[in-house]
Amino acid sequence: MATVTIHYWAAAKDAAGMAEESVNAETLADALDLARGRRAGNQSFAAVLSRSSFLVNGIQAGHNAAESVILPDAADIEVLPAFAGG
Amino acid sequence: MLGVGETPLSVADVYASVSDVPSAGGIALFVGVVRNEDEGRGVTELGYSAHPTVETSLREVVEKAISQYPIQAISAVHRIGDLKIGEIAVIVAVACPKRGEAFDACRQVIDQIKDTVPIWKRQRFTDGDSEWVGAEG
Repeated sequence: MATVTIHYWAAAKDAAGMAEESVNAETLADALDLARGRRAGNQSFAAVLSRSSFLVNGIQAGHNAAESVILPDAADIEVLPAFAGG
Repeated sequence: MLGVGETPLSVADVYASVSDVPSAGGIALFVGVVRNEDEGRGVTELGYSAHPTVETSLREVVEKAISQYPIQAISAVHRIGDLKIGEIAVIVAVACPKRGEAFDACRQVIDQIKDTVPIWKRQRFTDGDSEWVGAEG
């Protein structure tokens, strides 16, 4: 089990109600489940998360297969909401 | 020119950056502008923000296009900060030997900027409401 920090950007920061938080988790999927669990009933947060991509220590973790992303201790997870440039 | 910043964008400057190339016979220029409505709702202002990796990501989009098209010169710039209706948010300019490849490459770059470059847009409506564009589907 790793203690990691989740950083929220843009819409994720607004929906989460904070810029970052700490969770104890083994995988990226666990960390995101814990973050969702802390906001039961927050449909906006769940919707933003479902369309986000993730960085773990700056490396893209992809949109899916979060179960297979093992978190090193003190990892930084970044939640990047769907992009909307242009 | 390649970059993301808060300074207002100039079509003349971007055009100048790709126009002095003797081997280019076609220059495609795309200019994205803040529009006054979205899905029927009046928009007053857009606030753009970006992740710190934005310029690396923009460079990857440009380099991919360079690897796929006979690009003689290319510029891609995006503005962040608060923009009013009519202000320029993004400019892509591509110079190629012929028009077809210039149009195609320019289209690919602006499409990939929208899809893959970490920029976010918050729009404020005339009724005072505001939302992050596309964040919740």
